[in-house]
Amino acid sequence: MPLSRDELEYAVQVLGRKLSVEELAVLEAEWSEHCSYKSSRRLLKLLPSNAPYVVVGPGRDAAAIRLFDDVDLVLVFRIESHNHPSAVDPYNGAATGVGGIVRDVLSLGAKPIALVDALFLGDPNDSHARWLAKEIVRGISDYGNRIGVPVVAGHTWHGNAYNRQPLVNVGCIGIAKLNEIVEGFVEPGDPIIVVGNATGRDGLQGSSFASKPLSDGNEELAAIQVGNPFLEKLLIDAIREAVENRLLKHVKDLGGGGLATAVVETAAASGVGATVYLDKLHLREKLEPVEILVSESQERMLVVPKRNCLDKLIAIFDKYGIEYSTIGYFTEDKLFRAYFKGKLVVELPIELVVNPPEPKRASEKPRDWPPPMPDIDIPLEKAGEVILKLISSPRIASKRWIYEQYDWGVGGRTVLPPGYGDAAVIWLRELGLRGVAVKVDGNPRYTKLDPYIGAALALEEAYRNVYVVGAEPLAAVDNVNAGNPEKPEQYWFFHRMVEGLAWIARELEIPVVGGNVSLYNESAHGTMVDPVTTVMVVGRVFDVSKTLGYRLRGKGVLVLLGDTYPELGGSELLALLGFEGGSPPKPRPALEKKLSKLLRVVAEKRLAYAAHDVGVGGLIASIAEMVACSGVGATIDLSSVGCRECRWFEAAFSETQARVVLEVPSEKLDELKLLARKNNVPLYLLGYTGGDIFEVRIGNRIVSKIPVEKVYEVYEKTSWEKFMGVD
Amino acid sequence: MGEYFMPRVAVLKFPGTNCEEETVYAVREISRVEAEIVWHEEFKWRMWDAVIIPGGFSYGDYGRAGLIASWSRASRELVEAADNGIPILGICNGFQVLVELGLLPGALTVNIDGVFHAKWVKVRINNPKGPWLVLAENGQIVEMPIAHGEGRYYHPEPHKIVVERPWIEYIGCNPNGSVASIAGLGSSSGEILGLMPHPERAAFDVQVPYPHTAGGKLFFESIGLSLRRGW
Amino acid sequence: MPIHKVKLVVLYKRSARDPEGETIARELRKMGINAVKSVRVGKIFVFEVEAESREDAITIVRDLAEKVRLFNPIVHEAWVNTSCLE
Repeated sequence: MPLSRDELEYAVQVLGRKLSVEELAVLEAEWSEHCSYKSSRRLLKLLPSNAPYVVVGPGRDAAAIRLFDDVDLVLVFRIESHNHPSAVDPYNGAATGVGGIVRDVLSLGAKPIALVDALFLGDPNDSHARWLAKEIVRGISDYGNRIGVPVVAGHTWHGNAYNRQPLVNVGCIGIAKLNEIVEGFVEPGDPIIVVGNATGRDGLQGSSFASKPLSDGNEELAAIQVGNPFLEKLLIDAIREAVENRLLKHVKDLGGGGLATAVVETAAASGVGATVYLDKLHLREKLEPVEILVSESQERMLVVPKRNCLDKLIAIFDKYGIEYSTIGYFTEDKLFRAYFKGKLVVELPIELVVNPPEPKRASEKPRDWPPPMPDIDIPLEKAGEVILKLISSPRIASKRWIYEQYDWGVGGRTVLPPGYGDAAVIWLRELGLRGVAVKVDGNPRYTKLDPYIGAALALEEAYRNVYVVGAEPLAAVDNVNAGNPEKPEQYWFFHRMVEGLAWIARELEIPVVGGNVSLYNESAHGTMVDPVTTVMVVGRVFDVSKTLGYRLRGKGVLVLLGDTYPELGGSELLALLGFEGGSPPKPRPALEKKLSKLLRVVAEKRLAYAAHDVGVGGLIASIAEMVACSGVGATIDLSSVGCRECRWFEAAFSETQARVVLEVPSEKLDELKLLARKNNVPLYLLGYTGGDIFEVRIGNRIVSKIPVEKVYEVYEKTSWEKFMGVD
Repeated sequence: MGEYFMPRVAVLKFPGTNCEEETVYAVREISRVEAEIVWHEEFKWRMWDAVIIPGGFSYGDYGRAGLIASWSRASRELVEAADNGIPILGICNGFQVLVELGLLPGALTVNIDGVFHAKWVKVRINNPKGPWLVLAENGQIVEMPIAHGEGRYYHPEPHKIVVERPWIEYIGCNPNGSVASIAGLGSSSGEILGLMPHPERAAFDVQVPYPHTAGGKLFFESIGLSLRRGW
Repeated sequence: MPIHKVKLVVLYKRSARDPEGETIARELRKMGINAVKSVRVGKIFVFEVEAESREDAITIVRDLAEKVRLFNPIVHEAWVNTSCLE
């Protein structure tokens, strides 16, 4: 995307001269939204990012926190989007998204140990949307599996808004010893080495491509990159070996903006300058200097060895057979210079390159938004029918067709794989029985109706999923996916999402230690996709053997923790009835925090067989999921949820937050009740598990009786057949 | 006073191998013998009492799973090791390498539905013998996860090759369309064994979500016992 | 109507990368097979098509390959013919 007239004038004014073609390209890349966050920088400062255990906060390629006070292991993590490439070439777009996020974690020196994905896909009945969905999943599967990093958890949404423009957000977590974390500080005289893939024309103009609306034509051709997971795996192994031998002082992914951005950002962070000789870089084909500067060919990293470590580093690259080139060095003078065959082609002040003029972004709430809550009523006789329809909704039905294509178990650390619990639990076997839990969430229906509350609920739900397995939530990273920031009505959604996220993060005391912003998610016709904030929350687990999954044992009491209110705004039920409207459910951070504490004791004392949060689709969806996954029946009484003002379908399908369903051994019930009372958590006896029927009652009246086999079939087979069946 | 030598197991690493760390961990913790990750270029069979070729995507599985690894110098060492009766276990990609090398018969090819599958499966151990299965009972059923895109075992006469050999059979569902539901197969002595499921991912109770069981322990306990007895 | 065998070959475009082909070529060179200058890896689909003529059969396959996206024109090149290869 070319510089705006204001930006160009600003650059010329600062420099006092015209720019070369190469200089223009460097500024175009670095001043793109994707690299510079120029429309979002100021807003993102609202997010709280401090906590005593934060080791690396926002600003680097990934964040790092210390998990346990008594051990020097740190968790490194980040989330990023690859939305635009995935719309054009879903297989390679999604695959290279995985590659990028893994290299970000690697940049701090950490060993990547798990991936999560948040996919916002189209309507399964639309053939183009289905093609995109299948190829995106295949791309993540092929890449993630081959690099040996398991995809352990995910979040999948389906909606018409994503039929042509899916959103693909991928998160990665890694581990490192505290003293392995690569400092990222370079000094004048340090060499600049680029290792990995040979640079080619394949990656031209990726970042400016990601910073404009998609068009219908084929002119994006140049931006398609084919991922090479085998090379990525070699890079992971080589960088890790170099880190373990303490050879590196700096590592950075050559991502958006290519070589120029990586070099300039490195120099800026250390307050130095840099000189590079473009003809020294290993190339795949003959390239112009401008192409070398901004090509975004995949699987490349910038590395800076410690003094006297260059030979050892090169020996490691040779061992793995990875190409590299030394292309220049850092300097004192805070200028970025690039030479090509002896000719100076770029000479720009680093300060100028990393500080684009901040554009003025107006924010305006769309008129008459959101649509009002419709007046609905559902006769009780329809209960069985509505329940089956609900669990066959692609947003609720099983995502097994996706996660079984992902190698969730490589690494041998996966305690709770997808389909077994609310969050993934990863075993840190180097620390005995300790572990880490991770989950990602985001609900575009909520964020579209009310971006402030919707974004808050994304963090709240991910937080909840993490504590439900018995973990202690510690930190979050976010990915804001929004529309065109130049349009006030689209920018409003973005700005409100960030504010909502900042508010809930403070309420829950969860630092947002890093993030990513994806703007310009709009079609060629100017329609914004449904904006959404995805949030990945990580937490620590002291004893992974006490993790709580959601598979029922079939011999317990069903208990609901938390109050229910009639909150159907933006709910799945409303969508099934064909409505979009109302306000999303109220965030309830105070109760979430109490529940979080309580669930840790429940797990520690083994007071429950199974635990599952209540989310999209409400209480009924939550229990139906447990029934379907475990093949065990359940009987519940809707009049026992303790909501006097609720009509039956509100008790059943309300999406009130801060609720958890537990399957409790009957002999532990009294202890649990006592504990709940002590923690001020409302507790309701819903029913019991066992048998082969999913039965819903209101008092003594049976309103729905569905055989477990039927629940399973509807939950499991609907999407499986759509995506995996013959097309 | 005799000196006691701890048996040593090599876990072979090719470029793209990715299950080596958990495999070494399982050998150390469960087999209770020494284990090291050995880079393929440095592998010399004479230095080791047993070899495991772990899972992953050697050379990205480019060409065909296990193909490029079978071109390597380490593979010639493996053939020699096999000739000399060194126990060899190939897990997933390792099984594919053993088959590509001709150390085990047949071929492993793309799953019948063309899709990668990662899930827990049940398998039956038939005709157990050799160092990797000394503790197994005939017909014993164990659970382990699979994770592969090219795990469909093919042989024109599957029933003939399993007469003498130890073999492992998917039960319940055949996830990849293997002939005779073959999930794993040994040499006739059982010294060489290859299997698609991952024992190292089902070797510890914490790796096993309810309602599954840690079926991979058996393999590591067996080799530990065999080596300590001096296989 | 007669049955024609029609072959569809799909490869990565030369402008895109082909990691699989590049890796195989590199490993072959490491083994000393220097005559091989490059390798490209792709897919072959062999169709049996009922059509009046070979030309019609080719058209049917070409159209369906585009329509159901047996290849993605953004990164792949594809061609169709009825040569003898099965």
